[in-house]
Amino acid sequence: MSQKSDEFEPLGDNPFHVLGLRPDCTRVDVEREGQKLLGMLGLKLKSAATYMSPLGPRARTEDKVRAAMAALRDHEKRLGHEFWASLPPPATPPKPPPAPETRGPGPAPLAEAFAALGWRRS
Amino acid sequence: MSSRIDAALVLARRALSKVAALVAAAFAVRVLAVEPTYAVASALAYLILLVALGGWLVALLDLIGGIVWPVLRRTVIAAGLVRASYWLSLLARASWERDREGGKLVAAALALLHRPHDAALATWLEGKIHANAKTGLGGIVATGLLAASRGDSDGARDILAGADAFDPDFAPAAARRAANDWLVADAASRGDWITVIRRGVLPGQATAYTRFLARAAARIRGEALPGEPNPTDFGLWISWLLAPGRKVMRPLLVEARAAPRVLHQRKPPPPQPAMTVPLVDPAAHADDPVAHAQALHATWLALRPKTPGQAGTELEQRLSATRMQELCRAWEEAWPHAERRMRQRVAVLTTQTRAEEALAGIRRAVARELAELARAARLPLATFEVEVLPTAALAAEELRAELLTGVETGSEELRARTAADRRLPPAEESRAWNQFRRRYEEAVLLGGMPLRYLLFPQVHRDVCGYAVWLWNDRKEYGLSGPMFRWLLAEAEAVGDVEAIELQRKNVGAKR
Repeated sequence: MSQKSDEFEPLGDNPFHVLGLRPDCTRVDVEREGQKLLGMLGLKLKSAATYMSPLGPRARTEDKVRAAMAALRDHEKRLGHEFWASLPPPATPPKPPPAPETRGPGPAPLAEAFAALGWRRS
Repeated sequence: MSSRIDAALVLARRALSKVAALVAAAFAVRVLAVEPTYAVASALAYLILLVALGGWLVALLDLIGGIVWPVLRRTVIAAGLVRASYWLSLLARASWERDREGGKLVAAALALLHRPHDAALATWLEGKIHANAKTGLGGIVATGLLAASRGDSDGARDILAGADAFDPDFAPAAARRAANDWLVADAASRGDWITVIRRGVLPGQATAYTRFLARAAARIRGEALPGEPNPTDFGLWISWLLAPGRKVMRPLLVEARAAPRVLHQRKPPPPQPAMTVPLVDPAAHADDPVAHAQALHATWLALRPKTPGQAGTELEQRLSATRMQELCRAWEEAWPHAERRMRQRVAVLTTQTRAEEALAGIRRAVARELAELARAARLPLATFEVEVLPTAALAAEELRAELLTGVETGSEELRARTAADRRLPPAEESRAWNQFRRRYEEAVLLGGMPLRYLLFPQVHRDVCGYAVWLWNDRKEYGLSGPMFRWLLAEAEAVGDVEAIELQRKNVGAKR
């Protein structure tokens, strides 16, 4: 089982998180924030390129922003997204994971393992 | 100077042609000068002499057969001469007794790895593999090596690991060794030393190369090898001396000899994995049951493996049955609050969807994700408290359906292919079977005996038909033999007397 990147995730891809809004926002807020983000993405501003979700930082694209705006305009869909947005995303990005150990319980990876047999590395 | 050499060469060529012409003339004169009866007898005698010489040559090749393949690997194959390796491997009769065509393919595929990737040669070799209608192990290993040459390491790993499932009676040792060499080299290059130690000394598959890597890794890690003690300094040195690529592997030898030798197996305490800090602390939302359940849910979802089928992940290590029950209970506590909140929002938004309907959809989504988490963490169905927690019951139902559907679809696919006589190319057949077997074994691991009882009749019917088709119509004894043995083991596990009897007959059948 793997994380399916092409599948909608209620927590990770929530439209409120994509637009950086909370569930109590109004429709006007949705339009204003959406247009602002589209403009920023059009200018390729770094600050708009990612958003925080409870599953960690995600890439924000123009398509995602448009889809989020459309989802929040529809009250039937908004109802479900409001539920999943009850959990606010972390305010600050997570600390970077601890640096991987250069040496595990064993020798370091043998980069020349294929070369020892006279083979090309795949 | 060069003109003199050229002249000498021309003279030599003429002399040679004259000698050949003289021999031919002498033969013709002798045949024509004598009576026709003697002429026929002479011709027959020459023919018999030729056949005898051929026979002697073949006998000689068989006598020194074991040497031919290693010599080819160190010369023609190591030089990267793909086509020459393909044809010259015919001389290695003894090493490829049951799979001559496979020997040619493996030789060419190995030669391809010894040179910069050549797309034209790879295509030529692929054509040869596809032209070989029989899926011997050689064809499978050649396909795996070809995938490796094209840079598809994941595909190569998957195909070459399938060599283990091949019937050893029909699997040339040379093919198994070539596959094992690549798998060990791949594991060593990724730092997967557990695999190197496990595969490096496999009887019938180990080579001097894999043995040295396994022994050095075992010494550095302070572990015993399967079936042999931790190597001594002298043992390591001898292994290194026998292995190819000594210059490249010298640092590993030095490192291994510097490590203390472990005489008695001591299980070191497992290293503490670096814990991923949860992005959202569930304790911070203790006053809001909905947010608390979502925070717990997000904590586990964030630990899902990034690549399919990745083993030994942090999720697998940390998501225990107790933690899963805690998560299910958190959701159970959240539902009444969620329903109340949902009613309020339905009134404000004036939606057509009722609160209960919206919540039912969310419950199903939560159950699907819980099932996905349980599957990734290899938690059996029995760990869900289905009698106490409706959320757990829904998740268990999802997981069960997912496992059942996966196996049933795979089984149906095998049956449909058998019925339609739809044959897959070499290696794909072995891959398809291994994928199905892994899916079934995962379902049995997670679903336990109830699922095994439920699945076995259909799996037995379809796999048995498939194996019989491979055996009778396609003469793929190397693939179908292990299938019958696998079916017998499964039949014994579920106690199906009729299937046990049938599979005992099939396992006993000999070509």
